[in-house]
Amino acid sequence: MLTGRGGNLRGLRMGPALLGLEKYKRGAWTPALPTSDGGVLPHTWHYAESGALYQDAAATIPAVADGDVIGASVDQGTDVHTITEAVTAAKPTLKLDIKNGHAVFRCDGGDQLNGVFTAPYTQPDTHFCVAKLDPSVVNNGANLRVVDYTTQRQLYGQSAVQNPDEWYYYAGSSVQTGIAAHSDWTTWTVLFNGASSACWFDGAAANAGDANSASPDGLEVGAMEWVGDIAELLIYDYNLSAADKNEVGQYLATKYGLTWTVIP
Amino acid sequence: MTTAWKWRMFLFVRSVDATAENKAAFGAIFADNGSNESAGDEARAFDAPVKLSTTGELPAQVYGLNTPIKTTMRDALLVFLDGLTNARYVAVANADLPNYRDGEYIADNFGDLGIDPVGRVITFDQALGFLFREFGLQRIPDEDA
Repeated sequence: MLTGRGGNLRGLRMGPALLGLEKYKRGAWTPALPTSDGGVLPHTWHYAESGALYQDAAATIPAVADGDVIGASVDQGTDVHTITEAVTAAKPTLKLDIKNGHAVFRCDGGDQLNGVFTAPYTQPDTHFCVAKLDPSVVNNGANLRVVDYTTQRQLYGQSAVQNPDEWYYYAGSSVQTGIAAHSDWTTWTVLFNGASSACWFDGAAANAGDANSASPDGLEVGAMEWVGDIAELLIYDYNLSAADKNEVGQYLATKYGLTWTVIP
Repeated sequence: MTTAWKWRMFLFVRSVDATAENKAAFGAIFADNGSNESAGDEARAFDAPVKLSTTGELPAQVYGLNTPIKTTMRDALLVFLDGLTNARYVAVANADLPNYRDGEYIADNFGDLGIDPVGRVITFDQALGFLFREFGLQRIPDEDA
């Protein structure tokens, strides 16, 4: 059961009935949705099999075939922040059947989808992202971000500060996780919460620290740097309880065939 | 269903050729052949290219782009590149296609890649290697925050 600032209220704004998800509102968790109550969806939610990907930024031509460019992804979360890109050379590519039978956004280092939020999120906020860095760029001495934004920046990815390069996260200050960057599929969980920010990889805790106070007013997926695949991204505009983090993590682990260590 | 974006092209043009006129022409090739974006937007592909120089430092002498294209764009793009001095490209399959697997080499205009590319998957990084081999060009690290 998700609880927290804004969670239930936002869920009511576009609840399960509106989304045709009434059957998930009560009863056993399959997990076909990120949380057991299903009615409280992430505020921002993008995934490559959403049925809401389009080849053009105006979202008129569906992207469904392996190799199609992705010019728009319609947010499946409650805040409906569609992210777009109008330059073909900068559009991620849809790749089918990549991880546990599921599709991904493939980014070549010059690709991104971005959009502005209708209102900035406020810390604390919690990100989940299933992604894989391409082996060709692991530890290449460059900062490579899964997500970012140009103004109020919250980001995470590979940092070149350490040697070898480490995963890091940032909301005005960088926190080095102590985990060397690699090319394995990973579920990122990042809690942006000022001095109490924290990060988990597949549920296992990494270094916590002060990521500073930036709160995102938009989102760039791929961030024109990431070389690799991004399967799914969820953002909750509050700090989920450990139980809720585990529900979302288990949903992602089940879907993509990943391990998940229970967050205590 | 097969994608209409059958080729992926690694394109390299001299920075001096990235004129407003050429950017507009490049953008029009996409916009006029089914990208469903405007020519002005497509011309912005040159706003954030991969940059190369013989020193590996700024200023950039060559810009690199990595883009899928539709078959309908192909001939016009090849004519465009042919009209530029020393422009280079490598084309690979953008998905599993009849006779080609994803990423497999299709064509290039380098003349001599130093390898036999037929039947191989060629990456953008490998294409950068071809540029280094022919022109001594090195990638300039991105400016970072």
